[in-house]
Amino acid sequence: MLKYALRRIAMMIPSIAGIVMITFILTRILPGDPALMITGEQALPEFVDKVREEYGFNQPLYIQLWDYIKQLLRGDLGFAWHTGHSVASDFVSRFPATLELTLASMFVALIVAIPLGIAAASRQNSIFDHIARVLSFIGSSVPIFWLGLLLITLFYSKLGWLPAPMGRISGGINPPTHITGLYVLDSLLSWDMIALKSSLHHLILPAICLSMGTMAIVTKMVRASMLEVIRQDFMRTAKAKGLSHGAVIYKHGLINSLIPSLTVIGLQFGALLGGAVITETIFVWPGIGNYVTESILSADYAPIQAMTLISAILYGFINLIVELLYGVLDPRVRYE
Amino acid sequence: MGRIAAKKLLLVGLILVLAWVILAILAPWIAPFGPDEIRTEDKLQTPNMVHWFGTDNFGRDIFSRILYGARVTLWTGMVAIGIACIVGIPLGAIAGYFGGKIGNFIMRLMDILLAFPSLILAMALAASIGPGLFGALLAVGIVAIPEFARLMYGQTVVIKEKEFIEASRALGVRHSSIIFQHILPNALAPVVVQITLGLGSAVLITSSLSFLGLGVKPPTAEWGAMISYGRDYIISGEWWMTVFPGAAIATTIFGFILLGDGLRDVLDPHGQSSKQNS
Amino acid sequence: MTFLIRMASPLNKIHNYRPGVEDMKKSNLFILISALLVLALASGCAQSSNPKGAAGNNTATKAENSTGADSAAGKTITIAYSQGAGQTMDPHEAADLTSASYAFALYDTLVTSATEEVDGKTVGRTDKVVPSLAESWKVSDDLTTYTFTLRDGAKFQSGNPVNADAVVYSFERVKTKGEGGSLYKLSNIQSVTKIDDKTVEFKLGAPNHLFLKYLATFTFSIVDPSVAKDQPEDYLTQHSAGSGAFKLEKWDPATEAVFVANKDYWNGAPKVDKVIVKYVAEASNREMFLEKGEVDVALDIPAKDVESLSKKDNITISSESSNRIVYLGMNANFKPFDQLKVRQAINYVIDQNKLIQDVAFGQASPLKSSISSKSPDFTAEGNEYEYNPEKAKALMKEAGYENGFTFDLTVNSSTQDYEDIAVLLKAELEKIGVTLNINKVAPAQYRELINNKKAAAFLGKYTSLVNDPSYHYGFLLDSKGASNYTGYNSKIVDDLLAQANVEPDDAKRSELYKQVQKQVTADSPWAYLYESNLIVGISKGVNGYIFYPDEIIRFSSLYK
Repeated sequence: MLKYALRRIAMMIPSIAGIVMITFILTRILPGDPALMITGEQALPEFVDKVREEYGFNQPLYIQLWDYIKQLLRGDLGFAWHTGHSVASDFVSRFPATLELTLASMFVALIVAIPLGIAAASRQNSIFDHIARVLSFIGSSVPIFWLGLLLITLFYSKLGWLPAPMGRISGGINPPTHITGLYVLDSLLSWDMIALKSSLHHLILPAICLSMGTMAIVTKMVRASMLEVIRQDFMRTAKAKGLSHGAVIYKHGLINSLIPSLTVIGLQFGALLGGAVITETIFVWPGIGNYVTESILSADYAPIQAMTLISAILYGFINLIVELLYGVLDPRVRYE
Repeated sequence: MGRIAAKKLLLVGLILVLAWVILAILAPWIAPFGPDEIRTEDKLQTPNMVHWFGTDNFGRDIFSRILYGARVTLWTGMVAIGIACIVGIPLGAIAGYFGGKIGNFIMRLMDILLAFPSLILAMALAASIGPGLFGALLAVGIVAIPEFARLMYGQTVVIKEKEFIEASRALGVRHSSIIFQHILPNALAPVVVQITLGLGSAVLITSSLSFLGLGVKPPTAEWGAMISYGRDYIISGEWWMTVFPGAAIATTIFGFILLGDGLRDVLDPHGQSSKQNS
Repeated sequence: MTFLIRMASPLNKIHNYRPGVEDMKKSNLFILISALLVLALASGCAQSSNPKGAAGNNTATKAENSTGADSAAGKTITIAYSQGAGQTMDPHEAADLTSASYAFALYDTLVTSATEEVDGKTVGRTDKVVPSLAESWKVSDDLTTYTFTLRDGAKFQSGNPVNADAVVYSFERVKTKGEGGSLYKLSNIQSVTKIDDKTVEFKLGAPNHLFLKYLATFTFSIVDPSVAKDQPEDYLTQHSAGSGAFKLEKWDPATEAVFVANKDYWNGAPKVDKVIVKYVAEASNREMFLEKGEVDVALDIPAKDVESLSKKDNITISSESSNRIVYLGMNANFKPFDQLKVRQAINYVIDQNKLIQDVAFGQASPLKSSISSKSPDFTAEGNEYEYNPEKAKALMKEAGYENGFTFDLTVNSSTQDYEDIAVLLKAELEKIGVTLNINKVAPAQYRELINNKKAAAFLGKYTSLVNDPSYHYGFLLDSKGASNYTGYNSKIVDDLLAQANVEPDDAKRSELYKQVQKQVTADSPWAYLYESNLIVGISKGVNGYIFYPDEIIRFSSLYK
């Protein structure tokens, strides 16, 4: 298994090279002159030229590419002029926000989807089945940006139940002691109930909004594989042995139906990272998604390059982890 | 889900999609106002008998804009998925049929494209190609290429091992004829399913791009752009500028998904086509 | 979002499983439990950053909302900004409004803009300067040497005095920076010399009547050499080393910046302990937060809501005509804008009052010249334009465009108002047979297009940092101006500007600038749209807001 994992990682290298090339080309054909954006409106042309030289924008493309590759090999992700920070430090400050949002929405999706999928499968055409259908409609068809706007209007401006969609924690409250960077987890670890409450309140709407797509898919997957499992022989055997309906479903059906869902769940992480772009924009969430959007609009090359690269590598690793988990859960899977 | 229920859903999907297609085609005749007809004296009216869905800040009729928006949405979706098919299907077929180094290279390239979060890739592409409908639909099309290539690849690998293909090859039929006359027709069912589901995704990505300001040029009536526009008004109580276009997007996508899922059950009962969009 | 879901290819290989009876391995559960235990142990060691005593009181977000940002941490003012949380803390490199407002809080300048009382309100006068770090100055008879005497008792936040060395160091530093260097060059400073610890002498290349106004800009902030000198060149990008009323506590360019009061400020400690600047991109959100008391001040409130917000008891709206002018630039190097009659025709289809009503919801005033009416030497003389489509049609016919033409109008996507203007203009132009395509582009592309004069027509705005026609025209309409995006090239105007720049007599200079305005209006490189207001929403409890026509917020004066 380790050998297999290593081989897969080695196989990722040419892909990563391809990704580096594509992002480089993509950013360079982005319209807009970064030098003009870096200097202000009052800058004289000679100072704009100076900036061009400083950042190497005046070099031929192949030299820029070569410089970029050399820089990457040094582990340097470059400098984001629109924030005035290095991309690495921006990433460190923003990634936990995106990770927290992604994990939270995965959590929300799973605690709803798995029981609902099982219930819908074991009691077909019951109320659970109907709920599952409605969820599937919302998750698959309703655009996140629309849903987000409606949720904010309802829960913040009309009902006033939840705080303003403005960051991860309320203004007057100190973020919890930095341990993992995930506010909810950190405030739990440092037993900071004020920060916990505030960060949960800020997290809940974006997490729900982002979770809908995953929730719909996982519900559907769990329901389908559960149905498949219920019809299998061993389930009948189990029933014949005199186990109750519930026990059969939960003890035998659950584990077996979860295995195929695992693929989907793993891939959903990638999807969530992408979906975070819109959710973060709507909820003013200070994460990577917001950062990339702003970078694209301001022709800031380095962060776009770095973030696409990182998310592509993450995607590769998540795939790998899912595959390896498969082996752990189902010993019959062999790695070729 | 039983077969009958599946057929019912297929019907619902078909009706939704057809309804939007008909509304889009007939928009110039049935829309009570022009999509860009400005009447500032009628601005921000609540839905009423004259303006069924109310008016926006220029007094434009939301209902008419939604009807015309259907044209933009469906047109973008069709062209984008058309691009994806024209590029993706031959690539997948070639990779699957010839295999070896070429096949490996093509599929590797597709994997690379897949590794990008698709919305971010679409945003970067749309911004690079330039704003406007053309940029958006090209971006959506490019993002969808790998899905078609991969589907076709999988189909081709299976079909090419079948006896009648072996026979044609033994008879010396040209590769291109085999691909176009034998393999493509046999892979049609899952491709049709994928096209339907792809249209749903295309509608979603296009409206997301427009929402982020990377889509159509103003004043084009496009649903995502209308929502983005209405965003400033939802707080001050003018909900109709946002709610109706959103409902239009949701019903359209839902229609395509039901139709795609239903078609899969009917045409492709073994579920060979991807389940990505289900 | 379902379209993002894809199957990875290698997974397909192992997708053919058969379910069997397999209980979850006990060991996995064990690992999970141990992990939770470790987390629980770790929690014992970590410290809470919020006081534990308050943890008992848990009445949901309602309580949070009502108290807003006014927490236990003393008096805090939270401001919602509209244009980012800043690109730099370095006053010499600041180029955006947000960074500029930081510079004004963190640093002082030798002289500063005056304020005056108008109808019981204090407003900033960027066209007048008063002493700041310099308590007095002398100007030589030939108007090229300025000698400043520094104030006693002015101290940097490090405790060091603000002395001549600091001034010389700061100006040496400005020279090397992009944004600062440009202004340094424009102000025509030849040398900055220390005479003694409290006296600095500036020599200019030529007389420059707006030199003092330049010195009042944030660009010429005085930085503390004892801090900046030994640090890397870009240290000040993220740190502060000034003498200003506030110190930088925390800055995240994505979201917010936090400033704490400088209790030892030489000009009197601020009346608040902390100012939090939050970047809130969406206008509707800023408005919502202000209404709910989430923020104390919100910049750029949408004009459409000014009326309804003004009626609320807990909010005051300040809507003041700033120096910002909004215009439609036409580049004479593109057909058909090479023809004066076409440019005039465009001017005649613009109904400024309608734009002000429908786009700016009354929160703007007509633009009658190529410079704001707030600027010194403004005149509307020679401007005969009014809404008259018939006349426009006649002019088009004379120009040979009886059947109209088609053109692209480049619009920056950063501001909704400009898209609205374009939509209305498009409808208006259709009436005279002209087709306008709205080319809405992201800020970076917009800048590229207009700076390189590649846009045939565009919607432009301009706010002169230095409130003086010399500065304004030097950038915008001088044939060599850095912001002359229409490529306007008039020898008459160039000569008049050159003459005015060295004219020491105020009345004569004013006359020259009036001639410039008449000439520009006659040549019509622009169609005038309106002068927009700076609209700021302020919670009732917050006082001390001062409007400045340069649109930069000086939050040091706020208190509650």
